[in-house]
Amino acid sequence: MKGLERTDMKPRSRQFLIAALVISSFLCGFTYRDIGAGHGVLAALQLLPGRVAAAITANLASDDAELKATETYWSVFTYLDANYLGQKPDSKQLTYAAIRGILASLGDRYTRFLDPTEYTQIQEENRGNFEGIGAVLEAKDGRIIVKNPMANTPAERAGLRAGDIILKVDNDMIQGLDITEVAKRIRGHRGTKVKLAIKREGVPKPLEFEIERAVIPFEIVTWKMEDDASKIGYIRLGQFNEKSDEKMDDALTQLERLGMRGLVLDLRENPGGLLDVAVDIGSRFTRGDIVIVQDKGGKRTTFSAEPSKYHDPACPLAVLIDQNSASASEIVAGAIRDHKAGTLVGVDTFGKGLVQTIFNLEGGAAVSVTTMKYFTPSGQDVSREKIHPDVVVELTEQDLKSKKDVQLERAVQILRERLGATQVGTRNEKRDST
Amino acid sequence: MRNRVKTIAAWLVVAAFAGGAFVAGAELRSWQTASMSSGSAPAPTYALLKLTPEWSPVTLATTGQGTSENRELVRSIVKHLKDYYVEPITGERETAMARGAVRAMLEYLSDPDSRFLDPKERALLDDAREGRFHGIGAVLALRRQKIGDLDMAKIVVVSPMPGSPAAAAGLKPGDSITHLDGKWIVTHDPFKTPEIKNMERAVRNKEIDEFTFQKACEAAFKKFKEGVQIRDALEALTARSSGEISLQIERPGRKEPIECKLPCRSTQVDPVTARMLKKGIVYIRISQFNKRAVSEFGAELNQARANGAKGLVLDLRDNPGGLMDAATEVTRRITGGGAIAVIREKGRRHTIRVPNTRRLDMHVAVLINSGTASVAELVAGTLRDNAAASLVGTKTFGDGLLQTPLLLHDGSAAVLTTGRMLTAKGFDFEGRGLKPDREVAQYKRNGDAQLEQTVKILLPKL
Repeated sequence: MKGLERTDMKPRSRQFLIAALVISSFLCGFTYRDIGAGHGVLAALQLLPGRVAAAITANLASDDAELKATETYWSVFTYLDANYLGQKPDSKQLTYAAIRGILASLGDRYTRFLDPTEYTQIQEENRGNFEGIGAVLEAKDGRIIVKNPMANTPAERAGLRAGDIILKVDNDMIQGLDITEVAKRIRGHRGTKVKLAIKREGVPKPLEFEIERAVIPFEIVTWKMEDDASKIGYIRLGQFNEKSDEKMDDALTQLERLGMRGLVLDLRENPGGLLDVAVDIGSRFTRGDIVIVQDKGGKRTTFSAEPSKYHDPACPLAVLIDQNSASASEIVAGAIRDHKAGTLVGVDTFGKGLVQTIFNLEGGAAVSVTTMKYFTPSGQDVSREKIHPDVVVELTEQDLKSKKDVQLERAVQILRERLGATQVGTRNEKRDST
Repeated sequence: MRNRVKTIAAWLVVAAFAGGAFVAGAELRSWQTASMSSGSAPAPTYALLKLTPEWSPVTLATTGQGTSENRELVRSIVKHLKDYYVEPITGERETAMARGAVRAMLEYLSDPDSRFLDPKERALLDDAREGRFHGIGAVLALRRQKIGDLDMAKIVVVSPMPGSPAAAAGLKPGDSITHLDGKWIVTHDPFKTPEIKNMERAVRNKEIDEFTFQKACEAAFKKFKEGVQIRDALEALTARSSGEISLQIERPGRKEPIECKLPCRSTQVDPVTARMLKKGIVYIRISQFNKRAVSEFGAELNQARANGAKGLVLDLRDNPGGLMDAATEVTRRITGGGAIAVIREKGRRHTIRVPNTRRLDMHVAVLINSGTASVAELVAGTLRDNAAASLVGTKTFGDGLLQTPLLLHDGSAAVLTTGRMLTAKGFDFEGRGLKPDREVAQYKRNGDAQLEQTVKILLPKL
């Protein structure tokens, strides 16, 4: 039932920002790719007739009060297929429904089924290709609002504005729907259209928009020389995907050429991505361990920084985090904090200390399974305790409206003080960062 | 059937709701004509609470043979979970996974009559089958209405069971329950009401100011947020066993809502009550078809024969149905055997016959009303076909679908629509109900006009 998706997962008071264009990646959190890739996923699909028969027999013989998932599904499926009086359901869709039911019963929103269409979309996104309208959404007081339309996107061209309240998507009221569901409805392939009804402050009538979706020029990495006088650079990392590492290199090289002496790394609104990319990015800014993962059996594996990737010479670093910095972002922020390699500025992070592995299935579908927990190098379980900033700076409603980024301002100020207090070009990464 | 399922498919699936699981059903057919303002008596626009799955249960494990791509897909996912999911997949967790699969498949059908029952819900159903009702002790249905673009699902009383809090509080078939403990039961999308739509239009035409409209929208949202979900309401009404519940009720033909407060408790329903009427007529009421109904009905008939009764008034009003076997047996006692029903299943059609025995030596009349449903309709129709019985009262409910429960050994069940029942001579009442031979409405608060008429019809024949 559709209702399954209408769960309120978060307290209302907390802002829940989601970029409509990166939504799927957010849902799957970040993916544990390297370990596990060799698990012979396809081999596991091969039929073992003896075992299957035994399983059925076991099911027949069992008189305890427990059910076997596959056998139960199959029994009901075959009975239904042969005897249901109504219109014969599509057996593929019926099976997908069963799979979604199985996964939903675990109560873990990150463990989910990806049908071939959804999986293709996620793969595209991990390659850095997004299609949609380019609006960043936010859930606030039970409403879904446009946080901001991104530059050069259909959303901006159509005239959506920050603060617009979304009332309808394609003529359906979205009241009560989860933000992820709303984002899912707005997204779609380039060339297709979506209709939005918007309530805008000061405008009495609901506004109607029809927007054609397009490829969103989503920059994984954006950078600038934020403070030219003090030579403080700024790099924003939008996501940890296959292109992030290379783009980060480019940005650092460019800033280096401009004589960068301090750096603000912006991980706000970064929903995460791939685990190995997190280790790569973390390796730029710190030495030593980056993250410790623990699998089902309790076995722990430590990932250490790749020394060759270390950005040398190091310069004072400030990292911006917010309530939507999740998973891979939390790994990087946590490692930087634990090694005192930089100052964290902003507010508490999202708090997702779980790792998913995406398993390919036959027929183009996939399943994303929460396979591991992770801990920061100092052993902090991020699911239990979020990453706290060293310097708390909150964005007020007023700041948002006036587009004043007080978090960034504060980070720059911290770096300026640091640069003023220390000699230019200090290369000691173990500098205190309080 | 195809049309019916199509109609339902467009509707919000409410069938698998907890607690109310045996209160499944949604309006199926006549919503096109339904209108909020209509003051006329409601057409039987709801499918009945499935008091019991009427057909013989199927033990599930015997059917799990064969293989396919689909099965392999599920199997591989379950294996991945067992091998890699961060938490251990315990037996308990796998049971929940299995239930999740079955529930999701049945929901996918969008057929309100096909639904999953967890062990608690199945226990409620088993209780109801034995005549033990909980909560307010009424058989309930969800009625669908469509007003313009607005889809509504109302909780409607099919019949208050005799001796229940609902009966004591005077609930009537057709009453719709709108509020529970002072909270609105969310029946529809509050933004799609005609009032909001009209205001939207009025704002556009500058007939009213925006502020008024905005206020109305906010009120609608508040109403939605503070309301109680149908699922929770059904659970309270059908499963709660202590405490008090206050209801607000809309009754067809009455403008003001009715407020009442009633206790929640378990009600044991006596399926058969009987008494001798004057001049050799025995009155037997069957409230539901279960095993006890069969034996008690037999005993009452024997008693009546010994008393020299020549006429039988069989009261099937507000009988929501029950077990097919029980219905068959009661019919056999009157007709003396032969065809009981025609069953249509996927790809086949067959007649249920029972061996001939002695036919009951009495003239029969059957009392029916809009609360006569499912196998109760079958019994009434077949008695008309094969025992020359007159049907007196009002049109019946019109639920001719059969469900098969698939029993899972953890105590849960999957209930699936698998058949359609027709009367012995092949009359299909699904969606239309049975029309009485003599239409008699029940107006009077005191006295039973329908029963009086029945006796009048029967007397000359004796």
